[in-house]
Amino acid sequence: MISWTLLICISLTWNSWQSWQSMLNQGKSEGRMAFLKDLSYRVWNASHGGVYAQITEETKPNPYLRVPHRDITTTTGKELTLINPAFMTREVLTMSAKIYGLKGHITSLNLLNPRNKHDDWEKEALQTFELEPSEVTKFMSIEGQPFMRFMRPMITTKACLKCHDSQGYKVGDVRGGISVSVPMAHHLAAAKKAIWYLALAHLVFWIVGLAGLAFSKKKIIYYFLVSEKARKLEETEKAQLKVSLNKLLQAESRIQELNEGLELKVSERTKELKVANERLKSLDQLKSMFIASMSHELRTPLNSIIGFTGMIVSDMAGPISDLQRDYLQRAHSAGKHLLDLITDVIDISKIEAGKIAVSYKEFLLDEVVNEALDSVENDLHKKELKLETDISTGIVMYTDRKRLLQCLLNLLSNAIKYSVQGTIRVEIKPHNKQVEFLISDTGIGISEQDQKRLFEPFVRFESPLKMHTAGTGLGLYLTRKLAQDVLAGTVSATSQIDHGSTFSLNIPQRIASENNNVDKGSTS
Amino acid sequence: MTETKKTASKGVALIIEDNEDNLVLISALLKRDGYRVIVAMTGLAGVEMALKEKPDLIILDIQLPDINGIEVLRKIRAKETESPIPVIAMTSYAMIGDEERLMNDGCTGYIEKPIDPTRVLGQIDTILEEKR
Repeated sequence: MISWTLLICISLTWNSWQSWQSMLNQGKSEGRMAFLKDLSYRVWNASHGGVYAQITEETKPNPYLRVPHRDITTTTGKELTLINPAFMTREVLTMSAKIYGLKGHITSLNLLNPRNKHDDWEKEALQTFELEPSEVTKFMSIEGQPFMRFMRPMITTKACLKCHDSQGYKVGDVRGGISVSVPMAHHLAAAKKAIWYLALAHLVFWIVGLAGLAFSKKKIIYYFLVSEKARKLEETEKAQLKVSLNKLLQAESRIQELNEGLELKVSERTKELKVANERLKSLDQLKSMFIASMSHELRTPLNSIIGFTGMIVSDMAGPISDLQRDYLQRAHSAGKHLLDLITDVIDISKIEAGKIAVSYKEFLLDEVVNEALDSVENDLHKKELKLETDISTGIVMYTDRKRLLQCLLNLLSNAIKYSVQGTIRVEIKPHNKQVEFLISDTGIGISEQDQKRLFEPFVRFESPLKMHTAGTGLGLYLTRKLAQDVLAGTVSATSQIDHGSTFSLNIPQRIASENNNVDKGSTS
Repeated sequence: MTETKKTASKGVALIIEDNEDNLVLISALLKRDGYRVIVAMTGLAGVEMALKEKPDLIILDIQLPDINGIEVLRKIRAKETESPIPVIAMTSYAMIGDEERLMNDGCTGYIEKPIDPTRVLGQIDTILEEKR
């Protein structure tokens, strides 16, 4: 844009200067023409040794002309005076200045007629002519008006010496000069007008150029500036990209290495896992087999021990002494305890292996409750404990009858076991599709600390009754397992030491579906 | 003293059981209760004896050396001509869940091992009474 503006400015300046120069040249040539015309008149006059003209108001005898026969009178009585070249020239010039403003002036450093006195510029020009006779021009202002001044020297010729001989001139000397002042107002106005038009034209041209520039600015800017930057940027980016790519390739190969390593590791671990799994499976089968055979092989001899000792103790095999009865009773109790222990262990391991056999069916709750209460009747009698019941009758259950009975028996026998005197209270109430079994005793109770561990396996608390109670330490653990895993319920306890405990079993009245944690059917 | 001399007023009881201890125990108890006891120590022998002797009660062990108790029960039920003989199964603890199948196959009742000598006769009587 700056270049464009500069270009326009230069063009305008050049054109303006050209116009100006042509105006000046016109002025000069006009001046030259006038000079040459003046000179030719003067030369003509001089070549005739002057001409005579009638003396009028305007044309009077030249007092500076000192030649013989300057003034003559014609035969007809007309008074004539000799008009010499200088005089005539001055007269003509005065006249022409009046006619068209062109001023001519004949002057010299060495004047004859003071009227021809030079001005400052003329003096300078004349001094220049002394050194070198040439043409001098200058555009200047005279009394506020523009003029082109033109001046040429007058070289002394033979004819000149007629008048100027007295001044000591020789032929070829610079005698003086004729200056012409061409009025330039008209020319100047024209030049100014031309320059104005030029300026206008240039302005339009400049604006059009600017518009074009603006239009193609983006392209130009892009090409000259942005593209350069872009190229640099591109190069930088390319370099960066190369570096990034290299890094990426390195990372990729590293990942590939890692992947291969990983795959190897995974396959190794998978193999190890497979082997471990197979080992576990066979161990599990071994365990199942072991439990099954435990169940049968350990219990079968126990059947005999419990059965026969039971018969003898019950006097079914004849009379025995009290001591014999006592000893046999101990053996019988130990056998039953062992059987309970084995049964509990089998149950727990089956639950934990997810292989406990469940049997869901519909039954009347009263039957199960009566069965449980019948079972503990003897023990209640022995300890002289009272039984209090608040049992809703007619509740139809759909769950595992046997496991429910087992839970109830466990809770009841615990209540009896840890009571010395008082009452065992059994409360059974339906609650919104659930059945709540509350079994309370007035026994020794359980400390808060012990309550936390109550349902953990093989936990038996220090108690004054411990010596007299037979327990496996698995009863409550198994009860909770059965309540949760088989009956889909919960079991909890509240207790106060020396004031007794209340165990609460909460199970759905109808179990939702076959519990998927257990197997249906026999597993023996 | 006088228990064993009770007359066999309750009829004939067939015990199908391979374990000698159990056999002795149960037969002693049943004899005490007034049954005349006959025994079979295999399943097939039991079936044959049941059909031939037509006992008043059958005590059936489930785990037998040849065929199991359920098959014995089915064979008896399939072949007996008169009114069905009451069959009480002795189920081992490992047989939980099988009781239902036994009942569906025509079992009169079941008693879980180990038997309690003081209670087993009462259990048998209850089952028989319910059946009647």
